[in-house]
Amino acid sequence: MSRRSLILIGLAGLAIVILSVAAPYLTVHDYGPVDIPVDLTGNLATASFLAVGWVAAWRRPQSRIGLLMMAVGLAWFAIRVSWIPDALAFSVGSALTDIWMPVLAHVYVSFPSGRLRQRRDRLVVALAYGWALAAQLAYTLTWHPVFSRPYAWIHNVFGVLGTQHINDEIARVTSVATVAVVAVVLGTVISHWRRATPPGRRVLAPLVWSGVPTAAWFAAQQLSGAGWLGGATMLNAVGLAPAAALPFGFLIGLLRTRLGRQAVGDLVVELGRRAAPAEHLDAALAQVLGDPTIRVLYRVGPASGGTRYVDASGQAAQLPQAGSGQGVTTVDQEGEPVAALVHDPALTDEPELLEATVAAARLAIDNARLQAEVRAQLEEVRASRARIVRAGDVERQRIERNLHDGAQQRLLALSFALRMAESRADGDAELKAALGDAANELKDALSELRELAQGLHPAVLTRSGLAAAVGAAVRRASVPAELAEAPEERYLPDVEAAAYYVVSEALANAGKHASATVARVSIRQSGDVLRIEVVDDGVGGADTAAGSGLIGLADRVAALGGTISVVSPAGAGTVVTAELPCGA
Amino acid sequence: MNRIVIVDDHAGFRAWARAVLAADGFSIVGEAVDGASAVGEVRAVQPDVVLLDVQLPDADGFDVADMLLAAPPRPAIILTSSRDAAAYEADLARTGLPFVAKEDLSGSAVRMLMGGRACPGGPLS
Repeated sequence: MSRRSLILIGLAGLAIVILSVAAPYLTVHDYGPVDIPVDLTGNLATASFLAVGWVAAWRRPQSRIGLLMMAVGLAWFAIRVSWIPDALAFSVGSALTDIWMPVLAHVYVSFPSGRLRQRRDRLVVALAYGWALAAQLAYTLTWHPVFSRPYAWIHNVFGVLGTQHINDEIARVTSVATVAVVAVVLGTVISHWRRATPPGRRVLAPLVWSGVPTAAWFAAQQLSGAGWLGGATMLNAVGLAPAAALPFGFLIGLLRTRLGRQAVGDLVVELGRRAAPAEHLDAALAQVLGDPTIRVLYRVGPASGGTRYVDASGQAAQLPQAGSGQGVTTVDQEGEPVAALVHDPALTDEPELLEATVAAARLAIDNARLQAEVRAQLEEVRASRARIVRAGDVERQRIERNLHDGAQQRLLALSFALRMAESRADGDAELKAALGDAANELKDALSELRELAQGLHPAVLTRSGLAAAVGAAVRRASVPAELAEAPEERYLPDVEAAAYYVVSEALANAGKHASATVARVSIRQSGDVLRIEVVDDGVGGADTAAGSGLIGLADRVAALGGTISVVSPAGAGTVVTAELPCGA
Repeated sequence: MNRIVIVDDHAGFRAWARAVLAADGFSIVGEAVDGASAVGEVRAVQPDVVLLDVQLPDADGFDVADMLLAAPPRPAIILTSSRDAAAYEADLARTGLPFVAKEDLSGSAVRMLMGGRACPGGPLS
């Protein structure tokens, strides 16, 4: 809907309102006194739906809700046709009496976009239109009003069936069914509200506030009009008030954008107060926009390929796809997107608020993006270090398996052959002794090869896990050692390998350099951290910088995001402590 | 009490084990190169003892042992590997199965590991 046609529609609406107000006087209403309260509220309803609908269409050109609201006003005005002193006009106007009802139901169910997105919503609106049409048709065809002089010319030209008695019965029955339809519509709105997110509820709340009293009044009016309850006129006068006030409920929804602007001011203050925007930007936006799910994703440059989005911590993130149930608002700079707000779809209905928020937070978003970019690069370096360590481990494992399947098997076969030969050389003592020596030599070679393979990658670690591997390392250690505790759980291979190497390196140092007489190993998981501690009673003075194997371990541990510390005062033993993240 | 099936994917080891065990009075009634054929072979020939490599191309020796012990004839099982027992100690402790390193294999080692089942008139014969 273009702005120009909206202006024309607005002028037409104004004309309708003027006509509506003037109708009783223009038409020289000579068939009854004007019921001032009813007339006034009816005009108010027409005018307010037209006006609020027009404002909504102007402010939200993408939404159809404004046009629908104007349609309600127009439908209300249609009743005025019956003021024209002519039997046909009277009949047409009367037949259109309740046409505003399904249109209003349409507004309710499709609020705030004006579109019926769910199958259930479409069914409810179709029910409202279908039922209104059927009930009105049955009523109109059987309605035989009789007026006394001087209004005897008035009659219903469509009343071609049945008698007034049948018409009364139809009215009694249909009124109850109409109330049921109203209940279904109201129930749909309430269920929208219940399922909505906080920003969605903020938009829908005025609907619920105004909808419940209006529906209650409407139900009472229907039933009393059909003779189920008394006091029809009084109900009309009192009840039309909330109906006329209804569009102002919608208007409150619009005004909330203004309230939102106040919140944007708060955002500026809030962002000024907080030192590190990257961490707090999401929280500040969530508070200001009332959407706890909101987060900002940053578009970062090509570090290892195309551009991509990351979150504030630098972790790679995906923009939600269309239809994912999340709204996305991009932040552009010189025509290029630099960031995106991922938010509740209900916020899409408040574009001014989003726009103002983005404008206010732009500097903070720019800063946060730079931070996120640095973090993303750091994250990439960390990931690449972890990949290098993992690749090394995979390679060591492969070599261990090759040694085991290749050289070791061949040497084994050779050793078998020597032993066979030895057993058959009973006649020649010299040969038998030589073969025996060769077999023993080979046994030593095999055992050295096994040690080598074991050092490359302990098969027990892959097979049975950390506790079993560390238990074996403790028993094999050159210094008497004990394993105080170790969890039986399995961890990621990287974590198990790092923990195992920390223990075996610390035990090797204790035996080789520290001249320790005893060492104690304990591994304990607390939360997401695996804590490894190796204590010995050696000479201390170990220096991680002095080229010990602990340096390589520090890299391995850091690649996993862990820490390692060596406390080794001269003469007072050594404590090696490592902490590894081990969350799933 | 000396009928044995040898399960290993290395032909060289099977040949040598056959020679060593035959020399020590065992009767080699079958051979298998992987877990699946081992189960079939044992059902078919009903040996007294199975010499079972831990690392088979299609299965883990411990799993094959579970399968063999799940139904008759339930032979004695001795695991073997060119790695030493330390590599499997958690599984050995869990299952209580006997183990001999390949380089230490001999008829007497097998008899010792079979325990009572090796002697004629033993508890399970």
